[in-house]
Amino acid sequence: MTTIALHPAPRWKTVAKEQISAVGVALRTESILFLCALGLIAVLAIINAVRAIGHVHNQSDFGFGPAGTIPITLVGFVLPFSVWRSEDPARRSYHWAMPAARAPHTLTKTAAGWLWLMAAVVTYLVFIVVLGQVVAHIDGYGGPQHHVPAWQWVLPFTSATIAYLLGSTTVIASDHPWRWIMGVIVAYAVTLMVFNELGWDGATRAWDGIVNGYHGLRAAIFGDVRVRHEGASAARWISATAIWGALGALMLAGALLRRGDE
Amino acid sequence: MTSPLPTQLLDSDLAVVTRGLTKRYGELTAVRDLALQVPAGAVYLLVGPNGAGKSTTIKVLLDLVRADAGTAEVLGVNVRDDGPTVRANIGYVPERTDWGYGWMRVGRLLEHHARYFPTWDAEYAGRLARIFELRPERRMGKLSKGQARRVHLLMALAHRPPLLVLDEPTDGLDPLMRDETRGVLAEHLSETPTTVLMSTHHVEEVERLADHIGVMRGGELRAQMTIAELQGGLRRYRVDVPDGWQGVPTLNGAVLRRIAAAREVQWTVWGAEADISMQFSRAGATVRDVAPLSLLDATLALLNPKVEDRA
Amino acid sequence: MLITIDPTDVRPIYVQIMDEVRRALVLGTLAPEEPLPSVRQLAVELRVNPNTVAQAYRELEREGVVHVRRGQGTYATKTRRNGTERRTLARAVATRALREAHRNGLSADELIEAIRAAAHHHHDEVSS
Repeated sequence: MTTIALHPAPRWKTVAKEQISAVGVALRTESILFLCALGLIAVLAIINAVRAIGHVHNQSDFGFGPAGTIPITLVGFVLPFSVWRSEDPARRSYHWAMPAARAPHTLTKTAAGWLWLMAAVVTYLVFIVVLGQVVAHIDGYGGPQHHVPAWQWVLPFTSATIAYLLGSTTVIASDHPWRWIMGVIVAYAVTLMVFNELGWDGATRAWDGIVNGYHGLRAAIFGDVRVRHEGASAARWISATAIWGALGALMLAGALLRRGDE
Repeated sequence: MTSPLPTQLLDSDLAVVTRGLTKRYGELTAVRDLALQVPAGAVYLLVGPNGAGKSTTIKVLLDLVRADAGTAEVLGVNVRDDGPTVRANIGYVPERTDWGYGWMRVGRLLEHHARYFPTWDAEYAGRLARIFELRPERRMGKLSKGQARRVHLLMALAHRPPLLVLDEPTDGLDPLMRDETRGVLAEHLSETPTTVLMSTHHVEEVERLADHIGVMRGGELRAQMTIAELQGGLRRYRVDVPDGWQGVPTLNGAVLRRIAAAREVQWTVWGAEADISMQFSRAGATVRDVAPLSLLDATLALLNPKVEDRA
Repeated sequence: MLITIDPTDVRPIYVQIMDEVRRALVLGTLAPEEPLPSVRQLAVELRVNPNTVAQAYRELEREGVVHVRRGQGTYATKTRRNGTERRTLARAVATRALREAHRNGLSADELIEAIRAAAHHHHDEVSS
């Protein structure tokens, strides 16, 4: 075999930059929708505030709290569907035909989507804070009533990340991600019901704990634990986040390995 | 004396070589014990009907599909060891036309592709875009099959790879664009030293560009040789025969096709013309005409031998 | 000089190119010391593999029909062998005709006689 000068593969830095840029293009429509939704919220909040002027009992309380993580967590969960748009596994051959190792390349695209998600979280938080100030200024009310502990400002970042990891795993590993998601939810609900009907208290409690337990998904997303009627707590949030974050990362790694080797 | 069809190329300098390559999809064996040999600098036509295993073989070469057995080497690199390097050196046109991001505009997809190939020649890409009449503002998903194919051809050619792997490159193109594409390929080959592996089931569309041929059917390579060898070795003999003629037993195995009507037969035979003609004469027949076959007819004879006698 | 190839012709393409060059020399459309099209030009024009054109030019060079000027291209050779070229061409035409005759069960003598008669007829037609 004559040795010919082989062309080099691209550098990872170039690939990463291009993936961030390309995923940005893929998310253009979604970004516009997101900003429109924020705009709509702002308009409604301001109308509400204007109407509340002079009505002391009607003062709006607009500010950030644990419940504020719900929309951004949902965004985190569905975002992978847009990142991998028109690229379910059966059609991912373009991505795979690029001169880059398959698993790290898939991870790069996933990370690029995550960066955009984090940008969305920042936008979302800044938006809420600014809108809170504006609303407070309009109705002359002295800003959000409750004090938000510092860790709760980190909460949207971690809960969106966990949701993104779980969503990405499903999209990368499965040809039919929605079937899997609905299947898991239905299977969970049915099992819980059956355990409950049979009066298996231990099993019911353990099963319920996956969502509502001390280290449950709820604790990771909101930092609170419903069973004990406890409020949000940093310690609970940290341990639950560690567990669910690690689980999400492991599942993603599994998906990358499975799809890295056909 | 009969000669079996060659399946081994004797040139040593191979750009693509597979050994014992086998790929199964469940019950179906798509490729069986394949020994593909594409010499460096060749334009190799891989010919066969749909489902012959051509696309699967090509996907193995890009490490898009992994074989169950055997090895594949591209430009001296085992595809399993270093897929990224292999892919960096292949200009690939896939069989499917929905390849690339449907939501992306043509211009942006070309930029995207360019960043993955450090040797991308932007000026050449621009020239090809003009020849192929591409409109950069169109979305990939809205293109016709032929337009998408042209985008893919540009993507494959513009980084001037040492190896082009084209899976049905003229499929979906109108006659005018097919002709343009042949011109572009001829020019590309004049400018850039390139090995080409091209799969097709339309031999006549690209035969003038090719110099080697491999004939595949049912996952197996029936024959593999230079086109000159194939056209030199295969002949159609029209022969007058006496009543009750017994045939030429010594030619068994070399005869690919037999047609007989009354005292006239037409046989397609592999082997040296003088030798075959002599064997006919010895068997008491008169050779009326010996004709070479067009490449299309030659491949059809290899793909689908018909040797049953018409009673 | 115009070089065309016939896709239905079973002669290899490089042979067709060689015959076209010879034909041009005999007809005088390619004069000695005139350049042939470049390999690339002809390959693109005919949509053939450039190696095929190069092979045809190489063979022609070996036969002394053309010669290569380094860095400039391929040129028709100034030749005293125009007669030879004519004979080569005539022989090729004759061989094709003979094959066709044999295929149709005609002997060489029958063919020659028929050619004479046809030529006579053709001559009459042209001169009238």
